[in-house]
Order: sequence, then C-alpha cells, then structure tokens
Amino acid sequence: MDQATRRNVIVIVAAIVVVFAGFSGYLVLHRASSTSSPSISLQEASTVIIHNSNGTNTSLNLSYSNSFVYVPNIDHGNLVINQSLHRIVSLVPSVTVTLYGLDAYYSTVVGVDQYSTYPAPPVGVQVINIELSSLPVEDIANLSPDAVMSTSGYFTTQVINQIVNVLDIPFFVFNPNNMSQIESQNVQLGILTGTYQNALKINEWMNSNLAILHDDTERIPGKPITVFYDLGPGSTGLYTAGNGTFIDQIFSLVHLKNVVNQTGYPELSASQIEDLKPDWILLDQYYNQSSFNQSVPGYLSIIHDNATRIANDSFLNENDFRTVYAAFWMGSQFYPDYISLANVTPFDQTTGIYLNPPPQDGVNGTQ
Amino acid sequence: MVSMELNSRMHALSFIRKNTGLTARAMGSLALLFAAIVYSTYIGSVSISPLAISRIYLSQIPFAGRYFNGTFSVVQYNIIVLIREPEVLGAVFVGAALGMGGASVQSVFKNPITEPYIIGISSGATLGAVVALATGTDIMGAYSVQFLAFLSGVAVVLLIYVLSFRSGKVPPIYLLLSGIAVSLFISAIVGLILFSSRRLQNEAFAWLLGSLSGITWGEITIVAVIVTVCGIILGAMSRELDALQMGEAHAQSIGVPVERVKLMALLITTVGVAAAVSISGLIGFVGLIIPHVSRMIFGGTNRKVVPASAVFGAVFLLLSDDIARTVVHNTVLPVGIVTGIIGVPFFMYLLNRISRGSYVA
Repeated sequence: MDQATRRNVIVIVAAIVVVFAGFSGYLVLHRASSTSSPSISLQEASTVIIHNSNGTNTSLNLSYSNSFVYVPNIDHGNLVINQSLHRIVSLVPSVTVTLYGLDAYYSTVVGVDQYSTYPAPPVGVQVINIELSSLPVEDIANLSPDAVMSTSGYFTTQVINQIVNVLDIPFFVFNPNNMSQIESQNVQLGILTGTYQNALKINEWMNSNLAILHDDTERIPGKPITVFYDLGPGSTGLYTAGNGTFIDQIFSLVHLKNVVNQTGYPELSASQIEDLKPDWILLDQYYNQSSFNQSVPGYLSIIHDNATRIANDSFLNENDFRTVYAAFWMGSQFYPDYISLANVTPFDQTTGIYLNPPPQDGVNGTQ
Repeated sequence: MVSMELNSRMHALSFIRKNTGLTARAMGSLALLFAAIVYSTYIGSVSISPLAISRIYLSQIPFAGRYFNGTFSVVQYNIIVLIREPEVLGAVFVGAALGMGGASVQSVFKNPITEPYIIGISSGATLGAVVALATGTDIMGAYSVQFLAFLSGVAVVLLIYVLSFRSGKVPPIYLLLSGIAVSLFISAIVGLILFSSRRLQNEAFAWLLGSLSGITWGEITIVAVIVTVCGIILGAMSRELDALQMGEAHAQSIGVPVERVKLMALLITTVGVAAAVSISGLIGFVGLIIPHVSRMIFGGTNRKVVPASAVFGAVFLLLSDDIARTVVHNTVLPVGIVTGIIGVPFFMYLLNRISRGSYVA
C-alpha cells in the first residue's frame, strides 16, 4: 500500500469513526435526556387540568370524545392551563363550528383553516392554508395561540412536532365518532373556552331533536332502503363509508341500510357496487361525471338520475352538533312523508344562543 | 534568451490571471451563498424587518448577544431562530450533500447523467421512512422516520454493491443496473405498503415530495456534522475521483486502488446523502445538475468541483425553497416540486449542449 493510499484510508476510517461516534453519542444523549429534560418525542395526554379563577381545578378527560392533546415537552407530560383558552387556531371545520355554536368563536378564535367556511371568517381571524399536509408554521407562530386544534391523520409528525415542541403550543386532536362523543366534544370545548353552560344547552338541543327524529323514524313502515355512499374515486374503484363509520351511524338513525359490509373506508369496483344492488346511490357534491368515466369504468351505467341523491359531503363528515341537520336532511330525502327538516327546532330559540342562524336546509339536497 | 524570459513572464502572468480569476469566482460563489442565506432568512409568510432580523442575528452571538435582547418581539425571535434558521441551514446542508454526492457519483460512474439516487439511496430511504410510518416504529421518538430512512438508505446501497460484485470487482455498469433493478423492486414494495393504508398515503406523500419545512435544530445539528465530515473526505479524494473520471484503466495505471476508492466514494456519498434525505425527503435534480454547473464555472477537476457543488447545491436549494415558500400566498409547497420544475428544463439544456459538443461533462 503506497503512502497516498494509506493516508486516504486513515482519513476515511477516522471520518467514519467520527460519524458513527457522533451518531451513537447523539443516540445516547437523546436517551439520557428523555427522562431528565425535554425529549424530542411527541407526548400525548388525555387529561387537561384547568386552574379556575376561584382557585379550584377542573380535570378534563378528552378520551370521552375519542380525543387527546399533544403536550409540549416543557410541560412534562401534563397539560395545565390557567382559566380558559383565549387564542385558538382551529384547523378543522367541526371544531370551528362548535366554537361558533358555543358563542366562543369571536372571543377566542384567531386563525382557521381554509375549509372552515362556516361562519365566514371575520376580519382579524387569519385563514391558514393547509394544503398537501403542510402548514405555514410561521403564521401559527405569528398568531401566538395558546392552543391549536385539529383532527387525526392530516398533519405529519414533523409538523406537529414543530408546533408542539419547537413553539411549545399544545395541539388538540378531536376525533368524535358518534353522537355521544360529539356531545362530549361540546362539553370539553365549552370548558376549555369558559362556555360550559352553552355546551349543555347545545347538547339539550341535540338530544331533543334526535328524540323527534327517532319518533319520526319509528313510524316508517317496511324494510330500510339500501344505500351506497360514494366518497369519490380511489386507485382501483370508489371509496365508501363502511360499517362503524360516522355516516353509517347516520344511516341507522334514519332507517337506511348501508349495502357495504366491510368496516372503515373500503374501495369497491363498479361491478362490486352493482352486485350489492343498492336502492339508492348517495353522491357527494364534488361528483364529476367525466372523472368517473375515466377512473371507474362501468360505474356510470349504474348511476341513474332517478336513483341518486347529492349530499354536501362536508356536513356529513363534520362531526359536530350540525350532524342533527344532516340526519334530518338524509331522512327527508328518502322518507319525505315521515321526516322533514322543518321538524328541527330552531337552534337559537331552543338554546338561547343567538348567533347567525345555521343554514335552513342543513345540507344542500338536490335531486 | 530574451524569448525564453518573455515566455516565462507570459506564463507567470497567465498563472496569476488564472488564479486571480479562480479566487474571484470562489469568492463570488461564497458571497452568493451568504447572500442567499440572508435573503432566505428574510423571506417568509410573516413580514419581519431587516433591522429586527439583524438584531436577532446579533442576539445569538455568545456573551455579546444580551445587549440586543429586548429590541425585537418574542414572536419575531421564535419565527427567525426556531423556524427559519433551521430550515435555511437545512437547505444549505441538504443541498451541499446532494451537490457533492452528484459530483462523486458522476465521477465514479464516469457518466454525466447519474445522480446519488441512482445507487438506491432514495428508494432505500423511502422504504425506511414508509416502514417507520406504517409500523409506528419508535426508535428515536419524533425522529424515528428520519433515523430509519437513513439506515435503510445505507443498507440498500450496500446490498446493491454486494449484488454487483463480480470476480473481486464492481463494474460500474453492473452497479448501475443493479441499482435500477433493486430500486424498482423496492418502489414496488413501497407502493404495496402505501396501497394498504389510505392514512399512510397522506404522511408518505409529504415525504416523497421532499420538504425542508419542519426541520429542527436537533435534526440539523447531526446532519451538519455528517455532511461536513463526508464533504471533507470527498474533497480529500478528489485526485482519485479525477482519475476514475478518466476511466478505470487510466486510474489503475497511475496507481489508484480502483475498487477501494470506488467503495469508499460510494460509501461516503451514501452516508452524506442518506443523512440529508432523511430530514428532507426526496428532493430531485440537485445531485444531477449542480455538478455540471460547477464544472462549467470551475472546470473539470474534482478538487474544485466537489466544494463548488456543495456551495451551488446549497444556493440552488435555498432559492428553490424561497420559491416554494412564497410562490403561492399562504401556502408552503414541497421544495421537491420546485426543484423538479426548474431541474427538467436545465437538464434538457444540458443534454442539448452535450450533444452539440459545446460542453464536455
């Protein structure tokens, strides 16, 4: 081995040793620091402790609404907040709407995502664009929120880590998946924003209207109408909502039967849908004939104008108190002789919370 | 006698001019990098005045910095120090790693249209990232994806290297073809994993498009060390890389241990690029086009091309990231989209010049 080669080998070996020693050292330091000082992992908590102005503490269990909060490392695994939240960034329409229903929107919300169109963001509430799973974190930092609220599965771990552990802002993740959990979400957001009494009123309104819906549905004779809910094209077929999903529960509430037997959000081909022989196909408002022609061959042949309904997808997927309107709309579309949107008691008159009224039809239903 | 003296003087003058030109170009490149760093720190969706940014810079100087505290808001400090600076440094080190990696791989393969990803780094890192996302592996907390991407990238390159081994040698053509084949195989596995989970597609989508958003000081510290060490080693190997660029037979004839140098160059490139890709996701075209820019400006020797590729790679990625952050109001595009859009026309231009013989890669 000549001198030059030997020199190169020594340099290379030394460098490799330095690199791996650095990596090992980093790992060791990380492990050591994770128990004694802020670590880099995301810490989830299901309980929030709120210090009330009268000196008492309120313990809030987020698991009742199938939710949790990512806690900044500086809080050592427990989220403790003083009194209520005053600056909230809501990155999911259902939370935005709930805050509005609680009469907490104008006093607490400083930023919303672009899908939170109801209510229309007033001047002073920044609209934050969350396309492509990305988030302009600078805008969040600039708003100095005391909490960011969203739902599961939208943002990458890296983005959440930046908000939670770099900016030290708690990140609430709300995932209510049935009516009971929506009521829990109302209560939790009510406590967090100091509007607990309004949350109770909303729940009362929901329950009284669901009772009306139940009575109306009881009068429907015969077997349930079968429905296939089209959630749009996937890679091989059409996505739909299967058993155990929130939409499936709304079907059950209004005497409809989901033709899909799989759980979750399966993808079905046109021939599979045809084999299931649904009485009706429910399309979302983004239904586009030309895209279906290309992506799901044969599907158009089983869509007939006289056997479809077009629903406002956002109402059916936003898990908040307005789901009551969605359920009434759904029922009225299939059983107009028994269920009517007019039967829903007015929100403001029942709750005493006078806001801009929710849309009268609840869902944009057209035939 | 007079003629000889004149010749000698002319030669000396030419040498001085050449080196002065080289120094000017080197200084110009560094100045460009500095300007790009300053400009990139200034760019963002939140407007912060240059004066406030200067004060924030100064406040970070050890001991003297305390004199500047209180001259800017906490929000401004957080945006500059916690969000923009790691992203800017991320662009610098990721761009440098991809640029140097491109120079190294193009020399080893003696092929101007190769880049680091061709030897399986990208597919390996993608596999590691997707597996980490799919299984929820928790090795290093929030950085598990990055760590597994790094390990998997290195492992796949080593696998490709072993598969290419023929009678004690690794012919570049075998390495290239094995790299393509294994990468396609791994891409199929990645596709299968992604197909199985709609939720996973969302997170993996962001990774596959490449992004510098969300890089933290913790990540950039370790990647900076790795990329710097790898850069120094590749720079030290420039003579051997030059020899390889002239052909393996030529390298052998001047005493370069060809197989050992190839292995070392690929290993160091892999470690540096895999570390960079682990925090940024897949960012294309930097490793392909930047070494050519360096050769156009500084000539063909790797003694200049390797460091120049680091500088230009950093500048290119910084400016691409600036575009990604500002081209659509209130939205941060994945930087991989921008480098792809800029990279393809440049690549076509390059191919055109090579085919006309006006540029020898």
